[in-house]
Amino acid sequence: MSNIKILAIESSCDETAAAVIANGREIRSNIINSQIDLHTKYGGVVPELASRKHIENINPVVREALSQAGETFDSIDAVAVTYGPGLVGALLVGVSAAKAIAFAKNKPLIGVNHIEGHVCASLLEHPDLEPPFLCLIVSGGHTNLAVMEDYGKFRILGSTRDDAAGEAFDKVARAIGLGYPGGPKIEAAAKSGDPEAIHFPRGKVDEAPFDFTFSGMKSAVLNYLNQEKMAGREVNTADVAAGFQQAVTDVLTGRAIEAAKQLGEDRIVMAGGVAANGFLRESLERECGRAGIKLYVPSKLLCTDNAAMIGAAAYYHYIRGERADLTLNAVPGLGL
Amino acid sequence: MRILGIESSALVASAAILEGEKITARYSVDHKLTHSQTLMPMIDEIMRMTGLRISDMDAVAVSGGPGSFTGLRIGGTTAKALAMAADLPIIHVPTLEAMAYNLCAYNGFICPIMDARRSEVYTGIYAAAGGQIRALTDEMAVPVDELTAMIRGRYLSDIPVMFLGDGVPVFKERIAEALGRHAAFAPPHLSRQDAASVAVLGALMYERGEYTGADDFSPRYLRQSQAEREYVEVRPATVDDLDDIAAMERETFPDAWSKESVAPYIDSSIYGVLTARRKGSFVGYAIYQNVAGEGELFRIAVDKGCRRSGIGRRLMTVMEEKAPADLWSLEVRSGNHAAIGLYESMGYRQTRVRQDYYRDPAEDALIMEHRVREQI
Amino acid sequence: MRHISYSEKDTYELGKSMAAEAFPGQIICLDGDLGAGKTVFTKGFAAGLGITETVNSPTFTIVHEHGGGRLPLYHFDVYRIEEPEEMYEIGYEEYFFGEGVCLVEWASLIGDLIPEGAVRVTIKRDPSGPEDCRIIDIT
Repeated sequence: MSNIKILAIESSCDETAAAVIANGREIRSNIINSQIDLHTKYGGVVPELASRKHIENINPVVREALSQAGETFDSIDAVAVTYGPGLVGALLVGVSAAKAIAFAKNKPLIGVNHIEGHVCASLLEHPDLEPPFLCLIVSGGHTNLAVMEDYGKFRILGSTRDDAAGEAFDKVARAIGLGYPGGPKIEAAAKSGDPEAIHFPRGKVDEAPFDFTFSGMKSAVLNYLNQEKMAGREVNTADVAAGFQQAVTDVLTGRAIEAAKQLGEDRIVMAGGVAANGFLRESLERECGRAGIKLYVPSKLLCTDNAAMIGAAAYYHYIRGERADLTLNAVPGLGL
Repeated sequence: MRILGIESSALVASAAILEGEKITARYSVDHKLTHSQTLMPMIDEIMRMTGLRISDMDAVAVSGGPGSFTGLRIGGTTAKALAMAADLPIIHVPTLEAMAYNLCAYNGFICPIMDARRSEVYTGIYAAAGGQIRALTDEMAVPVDELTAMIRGRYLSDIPVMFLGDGVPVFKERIAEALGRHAAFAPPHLSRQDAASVAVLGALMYERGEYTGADDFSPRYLRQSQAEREYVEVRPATVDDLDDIAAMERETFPDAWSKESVAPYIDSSIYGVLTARRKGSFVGYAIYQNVAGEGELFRIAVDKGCRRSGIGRRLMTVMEEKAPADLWSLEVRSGNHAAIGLYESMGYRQTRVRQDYYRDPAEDALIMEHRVREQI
Repeated sequence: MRHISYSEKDTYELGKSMAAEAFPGQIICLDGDLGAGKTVFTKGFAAGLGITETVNSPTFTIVHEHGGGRLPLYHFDVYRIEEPEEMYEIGYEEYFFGEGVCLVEWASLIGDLIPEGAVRVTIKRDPSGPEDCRIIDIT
C-alpha cells in the first residue's frame, strides 16, 4: 500500500495529544501538551498548556503535530481519535475535534480504543514485532491483560477489579510518606530494602484468573503501617516499599506468564506508564527468559498516554476498511 | 458573506447557514443532550443539501455560553476544529443574546432564561429597537426570585416582559406569581436557542470586527466564583446587627457612623437598613431612605474579603424591591471606580458633581440617579 | 447513625442497603483514609442499585458512570483534584444536579462544592479493634 499518514488525537484523561503516524509504524510527529513549547501560527510561543484543559490545548497540539510532520490537513490520509475508555468530558473534546477535521477535509475517520492504543505502542519501535502477542498494560488508570490476535483485532483478557497498579503505587507511596509520583519513588526506596522482610498478600480473583486486584495489597500495607504505629515501632520504609513492589511485580509477572503459556503466545509486550518501573521490567525479562518468551518494552515516552500509539492502532483498522461515521461518540466505559 | 452557525449550548442542537440576507438552511432538534452524536451529522446534512462546503464559509459563528458543560464543549470544540481545518475566523456569539434576538421585533423587555439548576437561571435583560438587540444588564446566573425582584424594581412597563428559554417550563408559575400581567412567554417556535439567530447575530458581530482566530475561542460557562455561589441572605436589620454594622463602618469609611448614629435608621417608616449574611457571617449592609416615591442610598458597605462577588448588587436589588421608588439617588467618590461600576450596572447615571465634597482625602462627589420604570 | 463493620463484606452490605433508599439527585460523600473501604462501600451500593458492571477505582479518571441499575450511578474520586476549578472542567454540575446518584470519594477535598443536604459517610479504622474493623458514621 502507498504511504498512509494518519493524524491521531488522544484526550482520554489528563493529556491532550496529537501525532502523525505513517503506515502504522513510523512516527512523523508525537506531540503531548505537557511536553513541548508550541509555536502559534504567527510565531509567538504558547505558554505551557495545562493538563485537562483539553479545549484550550486541542488546536495548538494538532497544529504542531502536523507542522512537525511536514503535513497539512489536506495531505493526511485519515483522522483517528481515542473514543474510550476515559473521562467523558475529556474524550468529547478529542472526538468532536476529530469529527470536525474529518468532515472539513473529507477524510476517513477511525475511532480507537485507548487500551488497544497501548497494545500497539510497541509496534512503533519494533519493526519486527507482529501479532499475535500478549500485552500487559499497566498504568495509573488501567491494568489489563490483552491479546492482539491480528492487526486490528484485539481482545481484553483481564482487568483490575479495583485499583490500577499505578494507582496502588501512588497511594502506598503516599501512605509511607514518599510523595508523588509513587512508582519511581517506591522503586528508588525499595533498592535499599529487603523484599522478603514483610510479606504482603498477592491478590487474585478466583472466578477470573486473568483479572487483577490490588486493593487488598494496598490495605495490607496500610494495616501493617497502622499496626506498627500502634505498637510504637518505627517502620522501615525501604522494606515496606520493597515488599510492596515485590508483591505487585509477582502478581503482574505471574499472571502475564501464565496467560502467555495458556494461550501459547511466545511474545509479551508491556505498555502503560508503570512499564517504566525497572524492577518490574527486570523481573518480567527474567521470567520471560525462563519461559522462552520474548519481551518487548516501549520507550518511556510511548509508555505514557500519547497519540502516536493511537495512530499505530488506527492504521490497522484503516487498511481493513473500517471506518467510523460522524455519529462517533465518546464511550467512557469502552471495552471494560 | 456566508456564515455557519452552531448552537449546542443546552438541550437544543442546531446548525444553520446564512448566505447574505438569506437563511439557506436551518436544522434544529430539541430532544435530549445527544449532541456528541447529532451535531456533526446535522452540519454535514445541511452542507450536503445545499451543495456547500465548509471552505465556502467566511466564518463560523458559535453559541459560546452560558449553558451546559457538555453541550458547550461539543459545540465549542466542533467550531474550533472546523475553523482551524478550514482556516476560518470564529465569532463567539453570547448564547443569551442570540436567544433574545429571536424576539427582535418585540417592543418590550426580553428576558431569556436558561435553567441553571439549584433554582438558578442564566439570564439577562435585553431590549430591541430597529431590529437590533441590546443588552441592558450583564449576563448573570441568579436565583429566579432575584431576577423577578430586579424586574419588579426596574423593568416594569405597559408592555409585559417577554420570557423565553428552557427555564420557562421550570419557572413559569413562579414568574407569573411574582409579575402577574407583567410577564409573557414566547411561543414555542421562538422560545429556544436556534443556530439561525446565532448565524445572523454572528454576521453583525463579524461586520463590527468582533471575531477571533480559532485557537482563541473558549466557551464562557458563566459559573460564578465560589464566593458568588454561596447564597447571600438579605434581610432588614435589627438592633442586634448594630455592632456588626458599626464595625464595618469603621473598616470602610473614614467618617464612620457609630452605633448610636445608625440606630435611628432601624425600624423607621422612612428609613431602612438591610443586612447581608452568608453562611451566618455578616458580609454587608445598606442604609437608605424612601420618602414620597424618592429613594436615597446613604451608605453601602461590603466585607473586604467578599468584594466583587455580587453582595452589593444583592443589597441594592432587594432595597429597590422592598422600598419601591420612582427615583433613586446616591453620592459616590469620583475615584471609587468599583462602586461607580456597580451603580452603573444597576441603572444609575451621573447627573451632577459636587466639587470637593469629600474629606480624607478630598475628592469630588458624583451624584448618580436611577429613574426606575425605564422608558423603552 | 453509627455502624461497626467487621469485614469488607459488612462494609459492602452497608453500601448495598443504603442503595435501597437512593433517589435521583442524591449526593453521598464518602470520606475515610486510604484503604478504609470507600470503594468497597461503593461496590455494595452499586450492587444494591442492580448494577452488574465492575465498579473500580475512579482515581485517575475522576468519575465513572454506571448504568443498568435502578438509577444511574456517578462514582467520583476527587483525590487528584487540586482546585475546585478542575471540577468545573469535568462538568460536575451536570452529575451533581442530574437524575442519578453521586457517590463522591474524598468529598472533603472539595467541601465547598458539595451541596447542602448531602449524606456524609465517614469510614474510620477502629484504633483499638482488629485490623478489619471499621467505624462508619452516616449523617
